[in-house]
Amino acid sequence: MEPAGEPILIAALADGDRAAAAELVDRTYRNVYALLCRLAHDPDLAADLTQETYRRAWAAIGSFDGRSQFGTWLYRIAMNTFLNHVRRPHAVVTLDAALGATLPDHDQLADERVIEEETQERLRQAVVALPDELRFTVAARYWGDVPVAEIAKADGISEVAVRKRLRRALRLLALKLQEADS
Amino acid sequence: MSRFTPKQVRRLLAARPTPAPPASLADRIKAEIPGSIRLDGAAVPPGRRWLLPSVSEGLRPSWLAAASLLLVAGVGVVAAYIPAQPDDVWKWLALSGVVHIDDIVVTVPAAPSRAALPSPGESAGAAAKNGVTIVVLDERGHPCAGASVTLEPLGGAGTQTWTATTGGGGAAAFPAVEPASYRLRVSAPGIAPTQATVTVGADRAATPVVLHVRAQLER
Repeated sequence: MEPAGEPILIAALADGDRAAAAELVDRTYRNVYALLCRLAHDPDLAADLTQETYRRAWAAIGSFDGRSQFGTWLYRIAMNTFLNHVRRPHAVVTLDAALGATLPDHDQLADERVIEEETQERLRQAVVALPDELRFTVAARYWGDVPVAEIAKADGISEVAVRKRLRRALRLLALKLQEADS
Repeated sequence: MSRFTPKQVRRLLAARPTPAPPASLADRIKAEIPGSIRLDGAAVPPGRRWLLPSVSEGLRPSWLAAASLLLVAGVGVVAAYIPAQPDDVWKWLALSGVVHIDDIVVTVPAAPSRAALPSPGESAGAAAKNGVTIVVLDERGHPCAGASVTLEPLGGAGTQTWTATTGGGGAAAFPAVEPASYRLRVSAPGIAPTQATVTVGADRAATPVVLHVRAQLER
């Protein structure tokens, strides 16, 4: 049997169908987890934040306007969940500690690999430090594989504006990486 | 020269490996799905509203209710008017598409024609006769061509019935008409039959007479 499309699942969700909600979870949780993993750089923390993301999503499901796909709407919630976490005083320490714990052991890796990891970590921090609208656009596009048109729908802007945001964000990230490298 | 370009940054962003989620994560999330989920109807995608016509999209229920009330009121007025005025309604329906005669203009020239043609069976010059021109106009003021115009004497002995057909200008000419009262009848395909009373005087010095007659529908 062909799986039901997302519009049909959303409609079933509107009728209070919990099975539809479970199906939506199956379809989206891997991507949400991957996005949070890249943001937090901590698999355990990402799993907790993924769970928290869905908790918030169910609470705010009444505000889902169907303008964008359910997955894109979840990305926005996941991003806010992550930011709320790192902005907490204890979370900042935890995040730094977690980053340190997950950083690779330099003695066991080749230099090139080490440089790659460090660069990725600096890039992650630079993405997190981007302005809100650029951060979501970059994370959704490159870490969530969300099409430009879908981001445009979610943000209520044109695709041209999304591409402009991406170009601006890439320039800023390149500048940040260059500054850290020098 | 900068080591990092936007293109390199894009490659770095896309190259980052995606970790697999823990096996129990989906179950943990599903366990927290609330028993009742409320979702605004606006979020229901169009696929659920295929049974409704697209014209209803964006219409407010209050607008539809107001339009329905106006429609019902209009139908009610028509339904109440037809039984109350059956003759007028059916007359109006019968006259739909029919050309109405608005004016009939009867002109008696100031200088009656002495050289008018004598009527059959009547000696020339036995009586002073007047030339009469009748112009038939429809309700928009346009001339009615091809209409049959008849002057029928009203109880006068020695007179006769005159008949003529209007030309392109809507005029029917009667070169010699005896002074008398006549019943004027106008008929033609597509126009309602009309009649009026016309008196042709004997006074040769009389000024032209223009008689306007409102068309009447003969039942």
